[in-house]
Amino acid sequence: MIDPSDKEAEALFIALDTLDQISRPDPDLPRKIGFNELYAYANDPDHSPASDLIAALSTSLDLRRDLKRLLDKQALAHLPRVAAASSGEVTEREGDGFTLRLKPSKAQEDQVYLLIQALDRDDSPRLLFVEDEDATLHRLVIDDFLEGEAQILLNLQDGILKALRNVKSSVILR
Amino acid sequence: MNVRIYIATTEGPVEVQRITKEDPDVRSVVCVNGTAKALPISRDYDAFVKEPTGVIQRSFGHPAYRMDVSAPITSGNSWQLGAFVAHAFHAEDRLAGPEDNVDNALWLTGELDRDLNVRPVDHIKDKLIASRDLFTKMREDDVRLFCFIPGGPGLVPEDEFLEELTIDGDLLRLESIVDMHRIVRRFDLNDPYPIEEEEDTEDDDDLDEEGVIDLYKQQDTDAAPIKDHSLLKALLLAGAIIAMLVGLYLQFEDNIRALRANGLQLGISELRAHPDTGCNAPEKLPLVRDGNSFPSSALDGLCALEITLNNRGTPTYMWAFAQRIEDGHFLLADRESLVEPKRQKGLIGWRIVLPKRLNKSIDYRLVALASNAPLGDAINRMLRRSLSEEKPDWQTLKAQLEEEDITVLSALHSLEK
Repeated sequence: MIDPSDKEAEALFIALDTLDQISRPDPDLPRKIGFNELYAYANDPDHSPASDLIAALSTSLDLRRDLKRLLDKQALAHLPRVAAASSGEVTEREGDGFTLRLKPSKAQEDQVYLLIQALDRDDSPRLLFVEDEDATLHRLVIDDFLEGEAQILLNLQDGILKALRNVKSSVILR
Repeated sequence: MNVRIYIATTEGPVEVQRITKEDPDVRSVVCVNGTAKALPISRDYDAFVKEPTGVIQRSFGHPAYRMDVSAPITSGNSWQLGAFVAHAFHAEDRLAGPEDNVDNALWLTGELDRDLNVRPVDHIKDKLIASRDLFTKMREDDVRLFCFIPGGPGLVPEDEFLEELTIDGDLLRLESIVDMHRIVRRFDLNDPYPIEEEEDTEDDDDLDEEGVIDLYKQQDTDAAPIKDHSLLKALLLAGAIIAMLVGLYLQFEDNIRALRANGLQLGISELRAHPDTGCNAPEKLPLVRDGNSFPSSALDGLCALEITLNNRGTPTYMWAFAQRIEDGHFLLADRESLVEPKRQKGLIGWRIVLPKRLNKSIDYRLVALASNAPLGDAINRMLRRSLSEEKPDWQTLKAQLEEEDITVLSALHSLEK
């Protein structure tokens, strides 16, 4: 079920997106990312982001801030930076009723299990965002959250895994 | 030598490449070719592994595994039999990897319940058709492939279909099973449900050096061949009446092979110990033929086997024998009807009394012969030719018999420890 505040936000972003499109001065210029598209990226696990959205997120600090505000507003849970250790790699995070754990695969040394577990909540997160220390946001679809938990295999070279292991990153579940 | 496992799907056979124990904190997963993408069946696989619902942990003692396969398995539960068997071989470090050379491979489809009974599944013929290329490859590589499917009405494809796929019971064999024990016994796997063996210290002269019963050897204690005279008489009487009406020329029909193809039926019955009378008055349990084989017979509680030939056509000369698959050795050759040949019809049976203890399962081919002429000379020629061969080839034997206008019927059966 969609929360009323979500509906209001969605309506607002659609309106802003329409305004963006109408007011775009020159069709030959790079397409400006609309709020509607940003909203889908932040909320819809089935949304496949266009390449120019990804490119814009990597180059536009304003767009990343917009996305961060959107996520902060609609997050199911924030798992803040790990305070206990100032160095080394993070293997476990906890916050707002969820835990994240990283377990290396014994079968494939270049792969790691990400375990997401709801401790005392009924919510089912469908997206995970990791904000790196340089404000880069990594996105991961959680397509198998059932009975309070999900398990996702990640490759060692995945950017999101490096971000999850970074003590200076924070996590948002949506 | 390790054994390769294929899980049958309608998209083609899927090889189990590797099974690895994982950290008990993670859920079991199924992945393709070592990639990080878990297949959608992973949740079901985890439930199949982990107790209390799963059977893998109960049988092999670990709660989390990763199974890598060669191609996606999208849905259903028919992968369970193949997955369990793969775990059984993995537990003994006998599961072949993609680069291993193998002599034997298993192709399986079936769902397993908590008691390791094999439940029926759909699309068996589609899965067989989708594996045609694998069958060809196995034959080219001289790898013996055992196809295991659930037993039950309508599940075993018809003979013509199997012949088209070159499932001949030798290099490529199809068997229907009702539980896991048959596979466990056949491939000498550790039984996931250990059965307490009865202590029996009696000498057993029926066992050969390998602990295999030699059914060829006639024993003084063997029961005499069963002759079901009442049925025979009844059929003879009926036959005589019919003969009066249609004439006796059929008895002299030159091409008796055509008649035999429809009129001769091969059968096996288990004679199992009765709860009260034991093997003195055993219970008779006919086996229902599945395609080109009969369901295997567990030796536990088995007193004897009764091999039957039912000739529903004109009286003819008949004989039956068995040939062990492993080495081509002739297992059964009651020669009474060869020494004193006579035309017979109706139901004729031979009882084979089994020794009390066997150490190894036996796969054998049961063969029935029918001819318009006494069979003794042809059999002698067959035996003489076979003596000069290390392992008599069944197809060659069959072709030579048929060249002598002998109708040849055969089926596969196993005695399993």
